[in-house]
Amino acid sequence: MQDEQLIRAVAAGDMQAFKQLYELFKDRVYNTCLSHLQSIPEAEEATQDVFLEIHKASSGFKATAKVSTWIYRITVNKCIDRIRYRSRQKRFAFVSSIFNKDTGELVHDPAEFNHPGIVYEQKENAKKLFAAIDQLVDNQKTAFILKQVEGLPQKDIADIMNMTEKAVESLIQRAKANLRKMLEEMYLDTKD
Amino acid sequence: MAKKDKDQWINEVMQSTDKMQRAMPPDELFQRIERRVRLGVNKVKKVPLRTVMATAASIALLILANIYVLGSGAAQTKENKDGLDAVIEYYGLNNNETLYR
Repeated sequence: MQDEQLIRAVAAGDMQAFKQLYELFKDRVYNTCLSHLQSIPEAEEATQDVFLEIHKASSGFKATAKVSTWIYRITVNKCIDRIRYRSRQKRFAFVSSIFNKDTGELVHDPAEFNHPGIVYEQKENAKKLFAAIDQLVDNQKTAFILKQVEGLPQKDIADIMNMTEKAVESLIQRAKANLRKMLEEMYLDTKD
Repeated sequence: MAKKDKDQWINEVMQSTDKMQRAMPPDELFQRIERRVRLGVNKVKKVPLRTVMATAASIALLILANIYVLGSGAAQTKENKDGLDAVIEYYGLNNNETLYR
């Protein structure tokens, strides 16, 4: 079944089609969430939210965009919502909410985030890169993740972010420049 | 030399995700989603009791502070008025008619 047909079947209540759609997109959704949120439990929660939203909004899907673009858009929005929610929590200093209720561990600690897909010899460097990515502003973060981590073409990123390709290119350049600046500071800190 | 080291390190860090593999979500994730779909609930976010209590306490404190400020303001106005009355009485200014005689 084509992606669009799958969406229509999901809208008609076909759970088998929903499972097929999940299998097709689960990795892309989960990895985008993981790069944005830098926490495995939060990425799992966000992935659930994304597929629930897909299920709920499938009847309103318009074929003006590709299904993948639509799904990535939902994913990015859910991640940004969670990041903003997390920032609000931190701002109001409800410290307990950033700890896992069961284990008491920090739910989000970018300095310690180990992406499960990184090869062993790159783990330390990737940890530093993710800590820097976490400090980027939302749109630079999304553009950089979709380009560098997800490997999407600029055209698709522009569609997902509802921007021109030129604007996306400029965002990625700014993100890279900011990351280099942050990494430079980290390098100097390690040398001090 | 130091600049070369630094630039090389930054480049290495920037390229550290190049050979990254996709992470796999846990196998039971779809069952969790399916359960939530079947329940027809998009997870209602519960506000923790502590947040509710803290908000209620803040509102009560705000109301009390307002009552206190308004009360002390009224008392102060009355006090000022009493002082003014004493001056008027002392100088015999309370009888407006005297001014025109």
